[in-house]
Amino acid sequence: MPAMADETLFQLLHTQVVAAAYGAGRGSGDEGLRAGLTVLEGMGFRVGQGLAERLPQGALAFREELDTIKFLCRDLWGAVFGKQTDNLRTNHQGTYILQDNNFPFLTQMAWGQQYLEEAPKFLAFTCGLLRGTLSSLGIESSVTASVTSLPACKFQVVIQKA
Amino acid sequence: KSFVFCGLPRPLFVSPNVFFPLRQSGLSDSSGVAQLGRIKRPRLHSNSGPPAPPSCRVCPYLRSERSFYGDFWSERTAALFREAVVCPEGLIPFSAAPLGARLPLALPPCSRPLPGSQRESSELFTLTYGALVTQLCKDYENDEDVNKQLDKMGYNIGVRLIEDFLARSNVGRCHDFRETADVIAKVAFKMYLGITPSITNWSPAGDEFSLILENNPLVDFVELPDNHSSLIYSNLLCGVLRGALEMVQMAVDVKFVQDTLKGDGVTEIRMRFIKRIEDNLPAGEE
Repeated sequence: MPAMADETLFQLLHTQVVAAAYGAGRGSGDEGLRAGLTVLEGMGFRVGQGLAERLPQGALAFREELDTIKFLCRDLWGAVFGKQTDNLRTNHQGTYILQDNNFPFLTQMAWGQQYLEEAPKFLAFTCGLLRGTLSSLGIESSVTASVTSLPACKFQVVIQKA
Repeated sequence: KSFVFCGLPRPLFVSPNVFFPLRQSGLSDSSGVAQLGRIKRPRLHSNSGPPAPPSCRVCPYLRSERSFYGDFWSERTAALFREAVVCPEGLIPFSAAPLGARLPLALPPCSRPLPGSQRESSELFTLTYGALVTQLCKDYENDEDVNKQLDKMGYNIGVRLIEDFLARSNVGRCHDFRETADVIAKVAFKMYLGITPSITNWSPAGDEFSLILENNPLVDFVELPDNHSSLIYSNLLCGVLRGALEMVQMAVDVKFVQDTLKGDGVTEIRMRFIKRIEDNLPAGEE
């Protein structure tokens, strides 16, 4: 897939999107944090759905679930972030872990553990993006993210069985 | 009216909670949303697909290719490209080429991004921007506040974007406002949004000009609902320009004069030079 946005511009926009999700007096503390994450995930979901609609139809005839996830790791990541995920693990029962050791939205912050608390804010949009793309491809899922040390992070995709 | 869910849901702008499927391209719409008809599919864009039609005879984007292809066209290749693809500059669509026009027999592979893919290069940005504006409209009651927020965000982006721009573009210092205008339109917009606006309407003093965007990637598939008539949807751009120029010592005033979302034919941004910002040395360090 050709790159879908100039990378720097998109990263800067994403930072502002995160700020917007926490603006407008959404409340502080845990509840405020969760409300903001929900907002971001929702935005990412709609963007993901829209993106999936723009893909060439022929490319989407995946035979297996694993192929769909590989498509996320290679093509979607490539189009959005300009790179591929570093590692994909699965238990072959519907759970997939996408690992990125150098996640673009986290590279500009201090590496290590200093901003561990803030990191989820910068991952929520991408979680929604993945969920939205999968949803457009006909797969219901739930996506969560975890960070132990910036800028490496893991996205866990759990496919919901119908 | 029946909707066929056949394409990109709009960035949900018509109503924040309702999914409006995209109208099929090709249907004309009296509400004046001419944009929708111009994006055609399937796109000639994959890496191994047929190369770009050198059809835009006035398009600066492809002008250098003209001598390459020459005037040697053929009916068969013309038939291949009869499915019109609007060139990224929004200039002559191929379908407007005269019927006797001939395309070269063998089109060499095009090293430039194809017209279709140029559109795609800002899609992610367009979608994310749409989601952002929708969220802001939910959070703030009136349009003026949303406009201000967009401008502020644009400013935050601009002050950081300028560094990336200067590093990648290698342009030197601009000597006057005219040079600045050229750099903005031909280098910056091209680099980040894939479009090249034209520069017109210089004021006699040379301190004001207009950027005319034939097509604004931010507003693809967007329609302003009636209750948001004073929303300046693309106001982020104004903030970006203002912030970026402030970091290179220029205070400018940027605003939208025409907007395709409000029914105008083009999008026009007016930029006015206010003053040069002198570095202020801290007191006592003269």
